[in-house]
Amino acid sequence: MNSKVKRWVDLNLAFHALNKAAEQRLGLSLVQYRLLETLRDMPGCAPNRLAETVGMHPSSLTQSLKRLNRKQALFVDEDPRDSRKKILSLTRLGRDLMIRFDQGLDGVLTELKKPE
Amino acid sequence: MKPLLQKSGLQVLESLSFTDTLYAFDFDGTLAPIVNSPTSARAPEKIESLLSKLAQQVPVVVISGRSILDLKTRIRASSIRLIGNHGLEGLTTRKGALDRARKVCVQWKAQLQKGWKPLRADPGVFIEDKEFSLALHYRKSRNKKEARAALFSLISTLEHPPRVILGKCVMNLVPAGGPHKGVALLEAMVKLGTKCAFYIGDDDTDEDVFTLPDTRIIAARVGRKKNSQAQYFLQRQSEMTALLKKLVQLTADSRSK
Repeated sequence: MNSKVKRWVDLNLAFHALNKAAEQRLGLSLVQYRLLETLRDMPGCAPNRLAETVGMHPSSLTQSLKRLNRKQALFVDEDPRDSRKKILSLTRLGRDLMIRFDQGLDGVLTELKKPE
Repeated sequence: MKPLLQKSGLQVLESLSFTDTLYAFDFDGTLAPIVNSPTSARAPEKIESLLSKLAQQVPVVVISGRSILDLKTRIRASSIRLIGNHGLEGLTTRKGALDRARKVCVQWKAQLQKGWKPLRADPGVFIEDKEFSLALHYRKSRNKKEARAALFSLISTLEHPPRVILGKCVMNLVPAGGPHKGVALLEAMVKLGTKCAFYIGDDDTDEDVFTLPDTRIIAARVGRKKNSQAQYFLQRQSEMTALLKKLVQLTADSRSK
């Protein structure tokens, strides 16, 4: 395999492993953490606005939001100004997950670096 | 509009406590109940004490149509920042703008007093001089409809046409081109370095905040009103105590982590 491509693939696998380990041990993947972190400073924001701020396509965002909603890390509600639209807010549980993530990420990285 | 003190409103209030939020309040009709005479408006002791507690934890401003000098006699806690005259006297007051506003108000007052004849028979109508803006009150008028029409006709004769902000039985005359409560809130957010703001008010003057196209601001109105742009509402002013208690509790919980 072209060595450049191999490095990209290795990097992709490393990210995949980190995401999986973070979600298993800390309750959030990197993307989920980023979404909650953005939402923390934009209470009551619309999903489209969140997607735009994070730089995700709205359709990719939907799956992540569903997972976060199942974890009760965010609150989805009707927009008080327009009931056809939705708004999102971070919940206390979501905030607690973020704190756990902040405190545990270094540990997850250290474990992943250990040779098998 | 949704009720602020029910599930979704409370959820948004809680989420505001997780970030740097500025808590901003109107005074008359919001912190203080509406009374017949503007000079006797007071925030109930419980509200003042809760507001002061909140201001010890997070940035708090009161944005009012009253002058700062007047507000200072009604809100004693030094930790609460005051913005007066619909934003003209703010955290970033520009002396030139104030001087111009004072000059215009002196002219308006003279012109109004000159043309006051049709209102002389009605002692319930009076001018409140707030140094940088004027308020024409007609709450105590026996014929509010007539008083309102006479005031409108008088205002239309003023030499430097004012921005007229209608309130509850009051017409606020503000020099054109000056800021409004919405601008004042945005300036306060920048000055105090907050990422979001919560604002609550009860009057048409507060619509300048409610209509701001800024998703960082969560706005609530005291009293439900069909065409208001506020997202949430309190049923009545007496619910302010419950709201402030909740805000104090939420901000204290979030800071303890």
